[in-house]
Amino acid sequence: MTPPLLSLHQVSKSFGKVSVLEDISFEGQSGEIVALVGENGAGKSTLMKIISGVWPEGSFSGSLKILGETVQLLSPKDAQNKGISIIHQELHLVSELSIAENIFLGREPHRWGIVDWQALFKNTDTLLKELDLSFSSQTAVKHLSVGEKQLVEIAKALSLKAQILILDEPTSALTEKETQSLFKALKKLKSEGVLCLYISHKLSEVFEISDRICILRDGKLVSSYPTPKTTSDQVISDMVGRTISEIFPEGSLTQRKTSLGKEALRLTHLTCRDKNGNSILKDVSLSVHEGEILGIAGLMGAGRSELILTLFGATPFSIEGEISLFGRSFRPTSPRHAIEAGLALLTEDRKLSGMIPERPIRDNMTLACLKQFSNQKIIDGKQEKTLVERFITQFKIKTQNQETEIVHLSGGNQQKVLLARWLLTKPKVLFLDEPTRGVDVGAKAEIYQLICELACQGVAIILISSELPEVLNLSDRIAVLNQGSLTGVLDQSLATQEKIMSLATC
Amino acid sequence: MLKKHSTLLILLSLAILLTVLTDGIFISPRNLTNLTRQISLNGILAVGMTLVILISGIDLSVGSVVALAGIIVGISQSHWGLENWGIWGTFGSVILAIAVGVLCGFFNAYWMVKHNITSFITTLGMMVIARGLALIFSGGIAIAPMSTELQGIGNGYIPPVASLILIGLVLASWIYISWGKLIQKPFILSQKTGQVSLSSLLASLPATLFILIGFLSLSYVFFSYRGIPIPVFILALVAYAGHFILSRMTIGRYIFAMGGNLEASRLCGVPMGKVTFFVFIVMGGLAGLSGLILTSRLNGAIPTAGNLFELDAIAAVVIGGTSLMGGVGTIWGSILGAFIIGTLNNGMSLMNVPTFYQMVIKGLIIILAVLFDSRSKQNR
Repeated sequence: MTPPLLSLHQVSKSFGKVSVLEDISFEGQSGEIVALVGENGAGKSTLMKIISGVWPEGSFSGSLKILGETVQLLSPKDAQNKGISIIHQELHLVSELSIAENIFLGREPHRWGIVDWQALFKNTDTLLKELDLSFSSQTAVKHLSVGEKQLVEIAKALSLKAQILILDEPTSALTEKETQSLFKALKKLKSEGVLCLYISHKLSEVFEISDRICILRDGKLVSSYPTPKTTSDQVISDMVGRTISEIFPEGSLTQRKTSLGKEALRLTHLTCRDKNGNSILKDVSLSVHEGEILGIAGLMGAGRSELILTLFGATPFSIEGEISLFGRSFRPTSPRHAIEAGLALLTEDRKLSGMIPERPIRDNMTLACLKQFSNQKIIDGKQEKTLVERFITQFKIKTQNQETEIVHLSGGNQQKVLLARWLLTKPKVLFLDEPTRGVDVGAKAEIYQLICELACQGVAIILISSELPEVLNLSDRIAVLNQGSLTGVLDQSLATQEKIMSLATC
Repeated sequence: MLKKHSTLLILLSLAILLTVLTDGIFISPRNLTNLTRQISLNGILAVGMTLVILISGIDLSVGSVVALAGIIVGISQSHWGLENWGIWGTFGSVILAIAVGVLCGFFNAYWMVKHNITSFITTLGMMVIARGLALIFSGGIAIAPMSTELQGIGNGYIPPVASLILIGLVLASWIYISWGKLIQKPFILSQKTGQVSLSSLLASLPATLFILIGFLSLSYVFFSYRGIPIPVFILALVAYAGHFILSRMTIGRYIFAMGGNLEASRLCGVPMGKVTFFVFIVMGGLAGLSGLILTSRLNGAIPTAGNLFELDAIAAVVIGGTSLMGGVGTIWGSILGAFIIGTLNNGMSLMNVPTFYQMVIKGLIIILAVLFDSRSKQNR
C-alpha cells in the first residue's frame, strides 16, 4: 500500500503561552476532498498555514510527511515547489494584469530576460481549457467576478503542479452558480489525484463536496467522519461541545433581568448597501433596552461588525429602514455624530482601529472625551490626570504610570484602556466588538465583570463575539446573523450553542 | 540618557569639532549670535513642518509661499506707499504677509479635506502656483526699499540689558513651573511617593543642570554681543506656541492621534478635517511670517527667494527625530535639527569650504544624522 499523500504527526503550535494547536495527527490520500470545520479560532487557519509553509519549520513542533517522506517547509514558496498550494479567503491577484500574467507572475517564460508572450498566453490557454473555463488568457483580471477570480487562482495552483490544494473559505463571496462551477473544477482535480483540503463554515456545501469531514475544536482534532456516515447535527455538536469555563460572573444575569429600562435603540427593516449596490445587511429588525446585553452571534462575514459600524456612522453604506434612539429617529452621519448622540464602539481590532500605539495611556484613554475637561480647547492637565488615575486603579490596569506608551502593555491591559476610553464618554449605548480577543483568561474575567457592571448601571450593550460561551453567558438575548440577514433572536434561557450554530450556518 | 538625547549629542559634538577647527572663532559671541539669526527662518518653518509631518503630511509649497509673501510685503511697502506710514505701515505689511501665507495654507488644505487629494500633490501644485504668482506680481524683478521700521524686524536686536531680563524671566518661570510644587509641599510629595520621588529627582538632575548651563551660556552670548536678534525672539515665541499646542491643547492630541492611527482617530470622533485645515493654515502663516522676515533682512523682495526652504525645514524636522510616518516627534527636536543644519552651514563658511562642496557635505550629514538617530532608537 502506498503511503498517504500528506500526513501530519503530532503537530502543535503556540503563540507565547496560548496554545493554538495541540497534537494534531492527520492523513490525507491522493484524490480525496477533506473538509475541515470548526468555530472561529478553533485553529483551522493556523493548521493550514503550517501545511502551506507560512509558519516555517521550527515555529511549530511535530512533523510533516509527503508520500511518506518527512519534509521541512521553509517558506510558502518552498511549499509551492513541493506541490502545496493555498487559495486564501482574500484573493491575491493583481487586478490590472491579464489572467496569463497573474498565473505566471514571477515565473513568466522568457528568453534573455524578455517575456515570451506567445508561450505565456498559449500555456495559460491550455490550463484554462483543462478546467473547462471559457475566457481568454488575455482578459484583465479586474473584469472577472469574484468566482471567476477564484477559478483563476485554481488554474494558478494547477500550473504550479500542485498535488495538495488548500482552499480557505472559497465560497464565502460566491453565488450559487459560481459555487457549482468551483465544485466542478474541484471534482476534476480530484479525478487527477489532487488532495483538496477544504475549509468552510457552510455545512451544506461541505456535505455536498467532501469525502471526509474533520472537526477542530480549541486546537484539537476532535473527530473525523467519512461524509456519508455522519449528519450535520453530529458535526455541529462536535464543533461546539466544549465545557463552559467558570470565568463568567455568577448571578449577575438574574439580578439584572428585573431592572430593564426603556428601549434604547431600535432598528426596523434596516437594509444597507455598499456603493456597488450589494446588500451587506438585509432587513434587520432589532431592539435593545437600557440595562440589557444583546449578544450578536454569527460566522465571520455574516455582517456583525458591519451592523454596528453602520450604526456608529463609520461605513459609507446607504441605509434604508428606520433607526431610532430613545424613540427619536436617528441617522448616524459620522462617528463624531454617533458619539455625541451617546453611542460608543469598542472595535474588533485594537491595532488597526483602536490604539494610537506610540502615545501614552493617558492620551489614548481621553481621546474621545477631551471636551469634558478642556476650557477654550486647552486641556486641564490636573483634572485629566486624576480621571485617568481613577480608571487605572478601578480597572486594575497594570502599568508603571499613565505616561507609558500603550503599545508596551499586554493585550488585556490595552483592551481595558480602550474600554475606559469609551466609558469616559458616558455612553448610553455601548457596542462591543470581540471585547476579549487576544486577551488572557484573567483579564477576560475582569472585562466580563466590567461589562455586567455597566449593564447594571443602565447602559444598553450590544456584544459581538465569535466565542459562543461568551455570548451565551453574558447576553440577555442573542440575535443570530447569517449572511447579512437576521435568522433568529433567542432568549438567554432557551439558547444553546447548537441552536445558535444551526441558525448561523443554515 | 545619551540615546534619548542623540540629536543634542550630535549638535554638541559638531559645535566642539567646529570650535577646534576654527581656532575658537565658532564659539565667539558674535558668531553664535549670527548663527542663531541664520537659523531663525528655518527654525520657524520647521515648527510648522513638525505639525504637518506629525499628521503624516508634507508641505512642499513653503519656499514659494515665503517668496510670495515677501513680494506682497515689497509691493505694499514700495508700490502702495506703506513705506511712508512708519510703524503702522509696517504693521499693515506684517498682517498682509501672514494673510497671504494663511490663504495659501487654506488652499492646500481645501483640496486635501474636500477632495481627498494627498498633501504631496496639493502642495506640489501650490509650490508652482505661488512661485508663479510671485513672479507675476513682481514682474520678475526685485522690489525695494522698505521702511526703516520694517527693516528692523529682520536686522534689529533686543538691547543686551533687556535681553538679560527677558532670559531671567523665562528662567524664573521655568523654575517655578517645574520646581514650584516641590517647594510648596515637599512633605506631602515625599510622603506619598517615598523614595521614588528622591530617585526621580536625582535622575532629572543632569537634565536640570544642563538646561541651567544652557540658559547661562545664552545670556552670556547675547549680553556680550548686541542682545537677542529679533528673528530669534520670534522663533522662540513660535516654538513655544507650537510646543503649547502639542502638549496642552486638544488639537495637539488630535494631531498626534491622526498621525499615529488615522482609523482609530476617525472612530474616536477626531475632527480630522478641522485638524488638517489648522495644521496647514499654521504652516502657511509661518511661511508668510518667514517671507516678511526675509524681505526685511534683505531690505528687498525677490521673487526667486526661498528656493528649497521646504527641504531644509523637512530635513530639520527629520533630523530632530520626527517620524515621516507621522505620530511621533517634538518641536524641541525640530529646533535642534534646525540648529544642526545651521551650525553646519555656519561652520563650513567659517572654514571657507566652497559653497558647492558645502551642499554635498550637508546632504551626507543629513542622511548620517537620521541613520544615527534611528540606530540609537532601535537599541533603546
